[in-house]
Amino acid sequence: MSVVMKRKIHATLSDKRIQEAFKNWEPVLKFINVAARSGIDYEAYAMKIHEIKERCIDVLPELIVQFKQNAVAAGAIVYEAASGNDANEYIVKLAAAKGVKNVVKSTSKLGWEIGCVQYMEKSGIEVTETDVGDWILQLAKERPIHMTAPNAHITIEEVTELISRASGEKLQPEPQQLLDAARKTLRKAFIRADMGISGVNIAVAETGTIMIFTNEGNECMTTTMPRIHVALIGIEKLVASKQDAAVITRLLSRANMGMNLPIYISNISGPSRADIPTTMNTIVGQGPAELHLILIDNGRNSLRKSTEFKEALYCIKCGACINVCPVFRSLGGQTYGYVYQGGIGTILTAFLNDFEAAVDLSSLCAGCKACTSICPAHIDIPGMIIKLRAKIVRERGISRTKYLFFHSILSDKRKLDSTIKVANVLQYPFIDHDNMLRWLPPPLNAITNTIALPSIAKQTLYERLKNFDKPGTAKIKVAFFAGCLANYVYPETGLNMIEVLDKYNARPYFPVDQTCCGAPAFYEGLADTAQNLAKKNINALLKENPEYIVTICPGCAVMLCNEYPRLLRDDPEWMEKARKLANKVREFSQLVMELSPSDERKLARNMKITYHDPCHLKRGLNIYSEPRQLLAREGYEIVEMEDCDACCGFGGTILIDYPELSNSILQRKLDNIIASGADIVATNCPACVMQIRGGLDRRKSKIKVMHSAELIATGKR
Amino acid sequence: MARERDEHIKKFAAEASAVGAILHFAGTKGEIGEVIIRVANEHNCKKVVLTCSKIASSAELAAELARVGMVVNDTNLKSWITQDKELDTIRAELRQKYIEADLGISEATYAIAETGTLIICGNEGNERLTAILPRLHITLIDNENIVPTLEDAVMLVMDSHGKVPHYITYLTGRNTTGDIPGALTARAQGPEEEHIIIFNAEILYKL
Repeated sequence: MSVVMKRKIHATLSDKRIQEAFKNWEPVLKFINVAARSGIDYEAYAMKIHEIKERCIDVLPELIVQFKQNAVAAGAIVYEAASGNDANEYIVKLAAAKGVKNVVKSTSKLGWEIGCVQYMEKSGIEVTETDVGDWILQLAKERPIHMTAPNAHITIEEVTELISRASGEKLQPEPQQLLDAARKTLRKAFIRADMGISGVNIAVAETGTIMIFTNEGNECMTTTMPRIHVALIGIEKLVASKQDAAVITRLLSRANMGMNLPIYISNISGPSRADIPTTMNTIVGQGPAELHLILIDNGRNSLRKSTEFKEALYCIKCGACINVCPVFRSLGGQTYGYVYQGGIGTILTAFLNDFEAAVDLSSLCAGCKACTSICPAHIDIPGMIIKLRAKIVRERGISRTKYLFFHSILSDKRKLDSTIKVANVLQYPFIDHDNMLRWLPPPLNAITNTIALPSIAKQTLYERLKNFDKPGTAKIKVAFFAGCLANYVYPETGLNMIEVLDKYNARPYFPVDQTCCGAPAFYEGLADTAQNLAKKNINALLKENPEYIVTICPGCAVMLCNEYPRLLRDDPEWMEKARKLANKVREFSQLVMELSPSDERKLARNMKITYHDPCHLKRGLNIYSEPRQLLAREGYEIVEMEDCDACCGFGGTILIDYPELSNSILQRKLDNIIASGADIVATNCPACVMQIRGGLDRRKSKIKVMHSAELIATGKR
Repeated sequence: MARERDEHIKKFAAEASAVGAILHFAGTKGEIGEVIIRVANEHNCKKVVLTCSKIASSAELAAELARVGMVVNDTNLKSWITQDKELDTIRAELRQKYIEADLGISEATYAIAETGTLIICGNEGNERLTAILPRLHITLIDNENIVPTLEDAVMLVMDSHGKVPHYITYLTGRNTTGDIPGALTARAQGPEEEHIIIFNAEILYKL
């Protein structure tokens, strides 16, 4: 979190042009997300690609040797560039040696990464970007706003003006007319060019082949018309075999554009040679006489050697993750400053471009895991962001305020309780008649400008339940892990859950030694603090050897189930306990459905409900049908909203760090909720309840927001 | 086997149409010329570049098109080499032919049924220039060479026992772009239409 980032966010969110462009872009994103997965077992292929990339990155040095051998045998010239500058220098020298004056270039994200166009232009070489999007950016002198839709922020009116000027024609803002003019203008550049520079999507070691995926046709001309073709290859693009390449081909364009395959895939193995059998492959054909393949490292090998971040090299640069990223959908790519954007971009920027910039960028992840669910290489992007934050904390420490909060308050239950008591008193003057806080003094007003906050409960759940800290007479022994929000803010939801479970002979008891699950510290990169809290909770929860441990907070459940075993994996004894704990943990709806799997429906209640999927519940624990089944059998009619599983904007620390950004994400959620026509929003996460309820309150909406436990308990009475 | 092949042909035709290609069927080799002439006339195409290496009648085809007044250039370098001309001069002259041509005719080595993809192979690059520079592109595909899946095609075309062609171009549908708002169905930088002629498709005609 930084003031600079806050300012950038404010600037982007108040930029009407960018926000308007995003709105127009939304239907395209939605189309891509649906089309990407249709008619194919997307998940299975993503797992396969993950395996392929893992295997190939592990043996990358061998693949480089093999690729080089085969490409050279096919007649190509291979150069290994240690850095971006090294590659740029090679191209400029080559151009000078061969008398190259005009260069055409097709799309290459690596080109942006190493700044090759700027470098060449500085050396006096004229470069024409030939992808229409890149060309428009070049004409507008701007940087890409999206990894794969570089000019999404430039309006058609601006495009009309830019292409009119470049082509010398007076054009109307009509797509085909603009493209016709672009084609004619660019065609001249192709005819004139003596060097073509392209990117590469996949490189096949066993044949020395490069594969390039495009849709416009400009790449075919870039790589065939000039007498020299230079291909920029990030070494992570290497795969061992054509079978590997075929699997990646399956998903790349789906993830990128929602298409089965791109319009053109060019496989190039060696330069152009005449089809005259007797010449031993020496006579130049009608394409480039020379093919230069530049294998670019630029930080990739050091990334490969880090166990924490090597997964970033599995990225096939499709851009699918940023299309679903709630933060990216609000801010676009320019806030990220470099060509690789969103969560994966943060990791790549850190190791390939600018670690300093990534320090700030790492605070932009909401941890919603939408990226991982669409990633065709199944990369755990949010997981890497947390590791990056931990690395930053290790290397540079954290602010005193954060240190105080996490180390001293959060990890000591008594201190946390007394801090909350103080806050409880301080909040008093600001509480409205309905227990909401709609205004707080600066700087907290940034938060109340986004959502109306709930007040801290007069009596915590802990205080109410401290006499129920041992298993009671219930048939099924269930321990209740409350989590901080339920404990301090929504104790009644906890009581509601107890009431519901009581009906299933599973009235939970409340182990009093439980404390914060550690999520806030963990997501901030403070693994030690999280580890300590994990141990405290494991002891507290396993003490009476319950059959189940139930929680109403998915954020806590993800910590208990997924993160504790990982946090404690270096200590076999604790690891064993963590596993034991994880096996017992159930989220509220999951437990009810497990105890009573009946489908029998209650009478219809004539009340429309829309269900918001909490990120941690759906993508963290894969629970999304249980809450719906439960609500449906209680007689509620569920009307699905658009993007029901998109982040509400609470997003880890986004609400606290960047309230304005949180607000922008929240507004999309609220729009979808209102459009659904539902009377009630049900969700199974107290943080989502807080965010959505607070947001609807600010809109003065009548729609109620309830945790399912609350809804079911009050409905059962 | 024959039934299976019919399924592949049908699937290919359906998928290729779905991505915007225009399908034609030629029951006999003679009909190939007829289809080309009809499409060329509709688009007012006079100058043709031809890159067909495998069809036995490629010379015949050229003659047929020439008979109706088209200027046809075969693009294989081999057929242009004469003793009195430098290779560089020949290449430059040939390059001009592509730039001036309004129709390019290619032959696909394979096609993929499940995606409607044509696979055009070559070493010279002439097949790439033919497919991309003229404003109209027609590709011939023998229905025997339509394979069911992407993986089948990759294994065939990159057969490691033989030599991998220098250029393998997978063409799926017609070139387009998302880079201009509202342009998703517009023509980008390649041909305005992609036509495909499936020949030897007798069984389809019976259906």
